[in-house]
Amino acid sequence: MDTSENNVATIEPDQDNPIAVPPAEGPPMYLESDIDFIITLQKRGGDTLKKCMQCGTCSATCGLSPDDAPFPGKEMAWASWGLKEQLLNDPDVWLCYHCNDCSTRCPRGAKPADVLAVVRQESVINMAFPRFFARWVNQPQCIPLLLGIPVLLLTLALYSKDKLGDALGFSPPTGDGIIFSYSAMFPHWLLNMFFFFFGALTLVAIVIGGVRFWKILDRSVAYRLPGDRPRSLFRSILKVFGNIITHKDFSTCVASRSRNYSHMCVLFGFGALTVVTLWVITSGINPLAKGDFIYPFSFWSPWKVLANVGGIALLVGCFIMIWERGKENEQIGTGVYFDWAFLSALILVVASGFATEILHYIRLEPHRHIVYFIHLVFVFTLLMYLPYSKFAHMIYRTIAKVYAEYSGRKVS
Amino acid sequence: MDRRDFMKLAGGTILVISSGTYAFQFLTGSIRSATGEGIDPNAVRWGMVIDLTKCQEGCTACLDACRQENNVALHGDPKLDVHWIRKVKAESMIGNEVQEKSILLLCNHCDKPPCAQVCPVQATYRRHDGIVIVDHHRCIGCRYCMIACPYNARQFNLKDNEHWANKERPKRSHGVAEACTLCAHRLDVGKPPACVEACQNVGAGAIMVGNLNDANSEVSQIISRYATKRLREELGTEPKVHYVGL
Amino acid sequence: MSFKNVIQSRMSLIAVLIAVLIIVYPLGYSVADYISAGNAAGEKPFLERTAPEITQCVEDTIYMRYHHWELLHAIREDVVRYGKRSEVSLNNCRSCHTSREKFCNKCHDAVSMKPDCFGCHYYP
Repeated sequence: MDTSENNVATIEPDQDNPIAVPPAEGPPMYLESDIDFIITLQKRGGDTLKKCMQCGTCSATCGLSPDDAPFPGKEMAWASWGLKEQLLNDPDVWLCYHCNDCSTRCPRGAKPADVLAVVRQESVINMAFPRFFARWVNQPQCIPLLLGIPVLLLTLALYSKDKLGDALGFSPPTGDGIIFSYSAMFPHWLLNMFFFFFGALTLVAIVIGGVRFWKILDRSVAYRLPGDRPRSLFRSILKVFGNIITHKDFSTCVASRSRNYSHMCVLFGFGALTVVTLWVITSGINPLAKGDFIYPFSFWSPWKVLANVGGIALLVGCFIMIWERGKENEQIGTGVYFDWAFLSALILVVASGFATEILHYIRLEPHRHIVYFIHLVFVFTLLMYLPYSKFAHMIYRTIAKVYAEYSGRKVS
Repeated sequence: MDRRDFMKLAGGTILVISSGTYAFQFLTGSIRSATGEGIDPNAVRWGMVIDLTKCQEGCTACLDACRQENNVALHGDPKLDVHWIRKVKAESMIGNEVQEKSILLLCNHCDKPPCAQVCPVQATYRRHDGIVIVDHHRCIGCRYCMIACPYNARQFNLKDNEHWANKERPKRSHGVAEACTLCAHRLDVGKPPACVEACQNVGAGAIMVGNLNDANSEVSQIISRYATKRLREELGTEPKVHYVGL
Repeated sequence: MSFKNVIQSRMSLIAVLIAVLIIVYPLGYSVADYISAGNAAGEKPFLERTAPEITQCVEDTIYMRYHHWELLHAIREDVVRYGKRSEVSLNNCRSCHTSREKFCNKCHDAVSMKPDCFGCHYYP
């Protein structure tokens, strides 16, 4: 790689570790090592971080790392020193795609990609609101609590549906239209209100997390580069969204090439399901759907086909990801709890959704309603814990990439 | 052995025997119901008597009536046709001599039906009145019952039935086993089975159906008066179709 | 560059394009449907009323709407397993709801929930 040779020639001795540089004026800075933080990182899946000998191979090999302020070499150094503040306020960890190119080249097997993944988890917890809840979401022993919350809330909602329906004026449909056996048990107005309410709470948490992250980015040393902003915020956003949709950064990955396609399957499958869901819940106010909207859809209705294809794509993508992780490779890590929790939640949502659909078509009562309840519980855990789980990469990575474009920090 | 040891041993023994009995009953419950154990002796127990001496050669009145009443499939292909009741040549050994006889063969509605014992989904079962019947909604078409039946009375629908003479009664679609139901739908409303009615209409009156538990019923009278025989009695399936002149 | 090379170098772009097309298709379909239908409201499947003098089914209308399949299952169990035959039967549904096309299929076809009664039971 000729670029790395150029770097070596131009970078000053101190620059690959800017935090160690003494401030220009004032007394020398003393770094405080947080041993507990190192132990946390090791426990959460970054157990190899102490193997790092800071050779910089990872930074040189990373296809996404900018030439003038590379990562993940400095993050590895910070992690082994336990520099919590630096790591949690480091936007660069969000530019990493966990493609494992650095891990495969690492001469010591320190798995920088996995360490960065754990740092991202800590960073999600750090930015989340409320923080204690994010800590719970990322602890396996809290699973009963995390599933218990939606079970309790949904049970309460369903228990009070008759009284609530009377009070709000929602009564079961009496016309000559189609009735849907699920809507007899789980009225649509109830589910819409339920998920809108908790969705709004989640949105608040997302906005707070996003604002906290943006402030971190504004304070960040690495991003404070001289010169004008090269492009407007709007154009940066457009460029980043184009990049995300076309998976341009993903395709630079060598070690885990299939991640490009598995992420496409998951992203577009999820996108398809979101589009269909939006179409259904807005059918009452959507003039395009109003005329002949039939729910449940016919099996060959384009919307139903899209939902089924999307669900299958999502499931296939998830299983490619699992297969990719299961491959025997000492260099590439098998992921951390942060990853697996999110992947499992996705799979459980889609699998329980398909189980509901199949039971619907074979009309097994009351099994289909029980499975639908379980499906709703998983949907709740996936969507409402978004700002606290790996799902939050959707927010933070996008913001980090937009800010990188906006601030002129080039990602090669 | 002192008194305390004796008490311990006795208590343990009672516990083991009682729980063992309970477990045995629990585990064999479904088998027992299929083998005809625990039948209420006072309930109606439908049975049939076929008087072969009155059955006329060449007459197919009962066969046609059955097909008409129950929409039994007739595709015109002997491999696909389904029969609930049919005329067959039965062979029996009398002394050293093989004797051939034309008989009416149908489901024997055994009190210990082997077909019900082998059915993996309990689609075939013995009703409380002794009629062995198939719940076609449940049947998965595995054909175990056809292999289990010693009378070859079970038939299989290899094709959708197009023969729909009696629209008030269901037909069967492809993939279910079936056999004579003793016209349970007619017996339930107090009418005799179609074959019995047809046989009386042609003046033969060779087929009779009645309550075997009632000593005064026609069938019980005939069974007590004549030396009736049942097919393959030695197998212990307790068939309820009795033949006169077999 | 040969055609094969173009395909290989743009593999992920082509995959993205296909995915986007698949996602956008139903929306286009609905828009085209809306335009072609004009202002006329689409035909919604609905049940055809039987003779006006008949106002009451075997159970309340609401019960029948939400639970008719449970009722049919219960009847089936009674008849097939226990020989309890009554006036309430699939055959007798026909006396008011005369046509499967105008009654059952109105909803069941629209939502692809084909009832499997009619392979064996007669219903015109």
